Amino acid sequence: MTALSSPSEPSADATHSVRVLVVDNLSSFRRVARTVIDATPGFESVPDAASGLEALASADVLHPDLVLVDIRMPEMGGVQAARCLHASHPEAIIVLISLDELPNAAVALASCGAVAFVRKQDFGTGLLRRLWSIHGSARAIDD
Amino acid sequence: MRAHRDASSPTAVVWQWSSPGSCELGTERSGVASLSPSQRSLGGLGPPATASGMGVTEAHRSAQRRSAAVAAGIAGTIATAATVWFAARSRVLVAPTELAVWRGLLVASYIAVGTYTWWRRPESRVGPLVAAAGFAYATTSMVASGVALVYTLGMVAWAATTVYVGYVYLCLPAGRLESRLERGFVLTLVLSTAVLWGLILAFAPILPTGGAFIDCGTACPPNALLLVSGHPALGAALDTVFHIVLAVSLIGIAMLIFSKARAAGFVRQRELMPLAVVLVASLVEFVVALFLLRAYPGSKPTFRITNGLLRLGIPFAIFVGQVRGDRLAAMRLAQIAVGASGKSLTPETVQKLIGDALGDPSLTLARWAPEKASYVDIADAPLELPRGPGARGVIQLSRDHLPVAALIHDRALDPNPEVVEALTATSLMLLENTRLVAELRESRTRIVRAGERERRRLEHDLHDGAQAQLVAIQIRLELARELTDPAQIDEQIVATQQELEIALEELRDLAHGIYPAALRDLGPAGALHSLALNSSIPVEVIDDWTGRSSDATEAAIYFCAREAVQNTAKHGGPGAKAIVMLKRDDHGIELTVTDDGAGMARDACTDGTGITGMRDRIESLGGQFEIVTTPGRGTFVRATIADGAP
Repeated sequence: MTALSSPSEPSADATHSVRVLVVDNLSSFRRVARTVIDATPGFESVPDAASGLEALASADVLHPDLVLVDIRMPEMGGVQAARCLHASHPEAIIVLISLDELPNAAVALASCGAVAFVRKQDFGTGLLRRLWSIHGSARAIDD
Repeated sequence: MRAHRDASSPTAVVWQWSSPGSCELGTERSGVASLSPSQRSLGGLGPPATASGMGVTEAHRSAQRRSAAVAAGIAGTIATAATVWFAARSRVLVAPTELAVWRGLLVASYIAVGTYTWWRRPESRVGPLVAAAGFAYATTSMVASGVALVYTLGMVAWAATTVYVGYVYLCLPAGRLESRLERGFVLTLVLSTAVLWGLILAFAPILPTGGAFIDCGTACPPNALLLVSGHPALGAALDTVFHIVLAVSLIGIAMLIFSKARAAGFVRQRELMPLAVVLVASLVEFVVALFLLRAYPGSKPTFRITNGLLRLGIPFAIFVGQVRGDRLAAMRLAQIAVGASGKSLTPETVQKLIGDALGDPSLTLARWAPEKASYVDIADAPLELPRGPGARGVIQLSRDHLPVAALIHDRALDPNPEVVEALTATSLMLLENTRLVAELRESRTRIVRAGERERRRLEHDLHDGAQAQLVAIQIRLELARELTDPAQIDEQIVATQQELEIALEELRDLAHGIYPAALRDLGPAGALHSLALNSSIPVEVIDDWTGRSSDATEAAIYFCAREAVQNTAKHGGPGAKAIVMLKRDDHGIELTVTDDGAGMARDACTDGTGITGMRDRIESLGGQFEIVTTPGRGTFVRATIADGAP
């Protein structure tokens, strides 16, 4: 899927697309998330992971800039996966996602190094850009 | 109900409760036969016996008892008549008519009480012992004779009878001597009397005076067996010694019985107290008579009357004691029933109830645990039944020759057979009750947990399935709104349609899992055909019954069959086939699922939640569930639900 011309904001970084890794055991979300990511200019999706372990392995190889981690996964849960990812790839922005609300979001985020929590229903090109502009560019400035 | 002494343990009485119904389930095939827990522990048998369920042997024994009682009655009447006749015609007794009456009454009352006791408690020795005392006393009628030899033999008989009667008193209420003290006492009494009388017969020209009812006054015939004559002083001395021995024995017996009564459990106490009281009164009368007769010889007739009344009082006291004991036992048993109602029954409560009712706080309730092949106490710890003499008493409760429970009690208790019979019935009932209550609680918990599991599964399936699909659709539609290229928009719409299709399918499957449309529209037979079509393994459906029933029944049948078929698919191994048969007869609707697969190991069979779920479903409708599985030979499941079940 080619990047399409978007009328509003310029791409976040002209030289380098933001590489996004999607981690969720449900293929239905992974599929649509990749569609959205690839349809957003300045972002590209990397091969997704269906579990926390897969995500850790992929991250070592692919070095994503942004990781979307579903909270509700069997075996290694999303929060645990996020924690491990943050430990091994501190440069990556980690965002928790879920169908349901997350009570005590601040605590959960702080415990695993994720920077935000978003609902799957709200996921779209706009959300992706906003996430990156808030957290990603801050990181870029730090670099 | 029958009782017999357990040969291996003389203290144990085994009571058989026969049930007239035959066993429906519990066919043990090779492998595992799974009965419901309540059936397993009670031997899986039919309803308890009722009074009308007497077998041929019971009626036969009852007829035997009746004819024996009649014989005893006739013999007793003859003995009494003979006693009266001999005494009345006596030329040596002091007041023949009066003595005839007293003697006759004595013989008759002992025989009557003995026969009554034997009739009421055929297993007890007390009846025959007491009746024999009556007959023995009748033989002392020989004393009424004026012929020296007959008189002498009569006196010997009297001495023997006196010792025997003392022995009988000590045997009450159990029918045998129970302590070493008692045995020693009786032995001493017998030996000393035998020796004394040997000497008396050898040396005393005049035999000692007996009781008031063999009183021959001054007309007593001489000792016909005298060996060595010319020793009247020795004779008199032996006479005195004998009377001392009598007095001491009477005191001893009264004391022994009194202390036994005080130490006994309260049922026994009730039985013994009247006798103890009468014996003590006799003792007092004896002592008083001893002094006053010497001082006032004219008071003899008065003392004859008091003596007579007290001596008649003894069989009467024995009779009263039994009635009191029975009545109290009955009251206390009723108390168990009252105490048990409205309470949540646990084995601990039952043990306490029965112990309180019998007045034995040390009573231990042992339940037969077939899975451990031994008795267990109320804490489910293995328990050995006490054996051998001196051990605690045991009442074993069994049904159709299979052990169910045992009551271990204080030896002093020795409840009479009728009490035991009633106790057996009550205990079995209470035990069944506790078992049912425990089972009910367990099955309720299982059902609630199963419901929770189902709900969790539903939520999970919805979340990961239809809900996820719908969210994906939502995201896609939002994306489509942002796109400008019609081709790309079209792509997204097509993808959305596909996802909708998947979502609908997911929801359809979910609904089918909850309650299949085929079951609602076609009934169990149609739903089973649908199940067979969609099954991953070959399933043959034989529907001899294609009718409808209540929703609950249809659901139970269908889901049981589905679970069984799924088990075959999961555990049956490659090439496993299942045959599902549905039919209906007088017993109700019957479902059988047979497969020729690998069968299941014993543990899987009894612990698998799927099987318990099937059983719970069927049994909650009052149906019966059976599963037999043999590793290597397949599995057979049968569920029967009675017609008209809700």
